[in-house]
Amino acid sequence: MKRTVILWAATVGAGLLLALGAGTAQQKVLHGSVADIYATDVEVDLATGVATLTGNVRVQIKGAYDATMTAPTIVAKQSQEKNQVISLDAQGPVNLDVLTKGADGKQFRVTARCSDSATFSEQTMVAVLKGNAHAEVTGLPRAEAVESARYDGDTLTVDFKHNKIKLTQAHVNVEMAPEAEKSPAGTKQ
Amino acid sequence: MRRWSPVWIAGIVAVVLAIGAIVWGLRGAARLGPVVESPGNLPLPPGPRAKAGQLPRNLEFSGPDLTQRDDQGNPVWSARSKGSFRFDAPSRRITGTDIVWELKRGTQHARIAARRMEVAVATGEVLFADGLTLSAGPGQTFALKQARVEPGTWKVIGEGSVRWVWGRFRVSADSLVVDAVRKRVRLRGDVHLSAQ
Repeated sequence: MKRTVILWAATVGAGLLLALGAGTAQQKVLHGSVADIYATDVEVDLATGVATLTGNVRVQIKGAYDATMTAPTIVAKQSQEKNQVISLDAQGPVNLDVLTKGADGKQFRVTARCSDSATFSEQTMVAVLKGNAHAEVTGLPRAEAVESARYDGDTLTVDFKHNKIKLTQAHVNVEMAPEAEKSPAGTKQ
Repeated sequence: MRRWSPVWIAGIVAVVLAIGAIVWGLRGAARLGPVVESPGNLPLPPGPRAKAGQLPRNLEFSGPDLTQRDDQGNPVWSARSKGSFRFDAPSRRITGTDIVWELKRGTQHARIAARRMEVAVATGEVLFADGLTLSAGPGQTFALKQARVEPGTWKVIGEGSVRWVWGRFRVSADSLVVDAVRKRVRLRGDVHLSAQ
């Protein structure tokens, strides 16, 4: 039987429970990955390397893990050398779906959304979702310990490099599988 | 009173006839006007022959080149053909084949290579089609099916299987607008940016 832990706090920092690949691979979300961006209207400023994408914008990244961001408008900024996307700025409502690829076979799905805006920086590998942010982290059946957590807050920060989620004005609901209950690490409050 | 001999009369008549023939010939040539010919003096295809006066203002042929000038006489764009240019008077269109067109206007620069080019004399619009590539600077080369250049703004408006390599992205779209002045590209339709 699953055990549920509910937590309210002004700020919560939590391990993402992500089983990401190790090493430099996890530092290359866009650079060195396959990225596909779809939109119905794109305006590119050739001088600054900034592209403004509108109309059912979908950004798909496949690399260290698979990530999809959807939003009505996303502004993508390329580096001066035009060899990498430095940042993505999305105007809400924004949806972010991440499927991890752990070296040990564990997989987790992070489904996040917010109503206002979201930013993602390739350099810091941090995604920040603002305004009624919500995230669900679910261990897939293939994972040894099936766990899930729901995060609600004003601002949700997902740090892919350090596998952390940070929330402000947070409400956290964690469900742990029986196997996870045996582990002391699973009882975080 | 001295009488004119038949020899003198015949001579005067011959001179008058010769002068008349020359005058008539010159008048006929003036009525026809200089013929607008394709580069390399290739013969024009059968059809109405144009007068120089029918060419749009500030447009001129010079060998294989076609040049558009502004009111001050500065070249705005020029096109060079490997094939030929032809001015069709009834439709008031200039067509060229296998051309390279270049816009040089201050800091603005754009280059279009296409198998077919058409200048609408009435509007000043320039159209391109077939095997078209557009270059607006380093890393700004587009391939597409057809495009037109808007006079005045000099924006290039194109459509049909637009392809572009932007940095590490391969870009495809249904249509595009390249603004050489503002250095902006607008893509529409099913826009897809793919990076490997």
